Amino acid sequence: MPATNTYDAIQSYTLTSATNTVTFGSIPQTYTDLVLILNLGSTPSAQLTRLRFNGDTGTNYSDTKLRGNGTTAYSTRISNDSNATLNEFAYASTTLGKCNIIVNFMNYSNTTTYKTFLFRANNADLGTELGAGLWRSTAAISAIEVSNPGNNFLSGSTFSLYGIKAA
Amino acid sequence: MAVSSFSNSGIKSGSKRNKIWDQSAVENSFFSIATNTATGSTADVTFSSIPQTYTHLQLRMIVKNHTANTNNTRIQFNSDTGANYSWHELFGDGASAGSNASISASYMYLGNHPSNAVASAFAVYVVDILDYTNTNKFKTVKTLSGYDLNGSGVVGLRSGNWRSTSAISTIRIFPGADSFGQYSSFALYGIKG
Amino acid sequence: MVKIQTVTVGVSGASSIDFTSIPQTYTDLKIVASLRSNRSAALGDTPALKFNGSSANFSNRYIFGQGSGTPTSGADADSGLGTMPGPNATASVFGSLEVYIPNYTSANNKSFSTESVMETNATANYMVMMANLWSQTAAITSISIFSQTSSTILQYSTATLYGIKKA
Repeated sequence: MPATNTYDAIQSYTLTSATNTVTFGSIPQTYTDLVLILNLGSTPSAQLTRLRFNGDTGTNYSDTKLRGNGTTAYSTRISNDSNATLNEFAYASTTLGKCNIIVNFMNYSNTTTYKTFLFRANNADLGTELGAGLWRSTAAISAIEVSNPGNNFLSGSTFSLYGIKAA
Repeated sequence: MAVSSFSNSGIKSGSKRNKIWDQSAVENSFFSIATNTATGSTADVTFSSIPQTYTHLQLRMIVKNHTANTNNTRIQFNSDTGANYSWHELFGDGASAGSNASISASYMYLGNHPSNAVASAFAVYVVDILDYTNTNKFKTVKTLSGYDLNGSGVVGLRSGNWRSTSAISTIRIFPGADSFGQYSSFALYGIKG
Repeated sequence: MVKIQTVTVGVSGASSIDFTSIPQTYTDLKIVASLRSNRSAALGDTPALKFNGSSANFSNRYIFGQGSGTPTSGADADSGLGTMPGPNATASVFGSLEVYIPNYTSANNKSFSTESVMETNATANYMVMMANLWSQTAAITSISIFSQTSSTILQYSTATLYGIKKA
């Protein structure tokens, strides 16, 4: 089988005003993996970034993280949460552009597996994190909700989704 | 939700979900080569006759064990089972951060994958192999991998080296013991450089 | 994801690998590099960046592993990118470096994500994950990769610059 060209841009959002939640809806089910790129600011204060899938508000999210805050490298875990938390201290700052997050969702459309995703969260003023997240659902991911709990993402924050299709 | 701006280029050229030639686009560099999916218990997965027309390779995988044992995912190149590999890792297990190494090993380690105790949970891997056809270099591999089981798990950055200047034509992926569980999936991509 | 340029270092080595006149038509940039330097009597060396000809106004926080023991975390006010092998690493081994720069043309600070590893057939080895920041609002029009110790980047080192365009 000849190799096929992939890594496609699916959807993107650039905020034109402060916004609490951005949702990627009706995600095409024709890819194998998704890559989400976030470049964020937060107002009125720095804040973490959360994900939900398909509107699931149940305590079906968990993760294991490796974290470095500039002083100590350590590891933490969150279990039975109602959101996936991408950055426990590499926050979106009040200055735009200081926080970037890269998320790889593997086999997101597979309806027999729970959904595991790898993420890197970075803010050079605060720290760097690597995480493995789990959404305990076999549903295909059709929507991704990115939220800023209690605050808003700054105008100018960007959210970009890409699809990768395996042969 | 406040009004967000969409890419104007997407609006001007049609659906954002379709690639449409805008008269300035150049060739995409990321290509899917092949995929293997474990259908039951699978002892190992091999990609052979890998095209030599790319510059880098990337493996994207979801993996679990066929039995009730956690295990590790290993890789060998060109059927080399000799002590020609080294690997290192930097990881967190939810309680502590650590590092490990192995030298003069007969395989390269990519990370741990979970047992079948949580039937639907898999480890995920993004494995990058740069300059895989270069006959002047040994082959270095960089991996981000991890899994979470809602109460256990591990995530880490792994590196490995195959001490051979041969171009990589075959990749074998296998567990440390047992076999890969059903729905484990291994996708190989070529990247032009 | 589109290849913009590849540089391969020739027989004389190089003081830097340069990407100039970077098209401003993409959203993000990605650099993958396979590097080795001749830093005197060293296991590893530190690759570093210049944007638009300057290595000023950079900062980072990182997690650093050495092959054994507990990883460490630190912070620097420089453009370092982690690690690449030096002469005391196993011969013919080159490192693996990936840098992802979102929104490189924006008028905001430029945060970016880095993972770099070297390898050697010995327990002692270096691996680094970083959160990086360039505190400038100019668009990135050129990138240089060089040795932070002013060592030579050796023959067969390569670096490729990719552009990624959002939807």
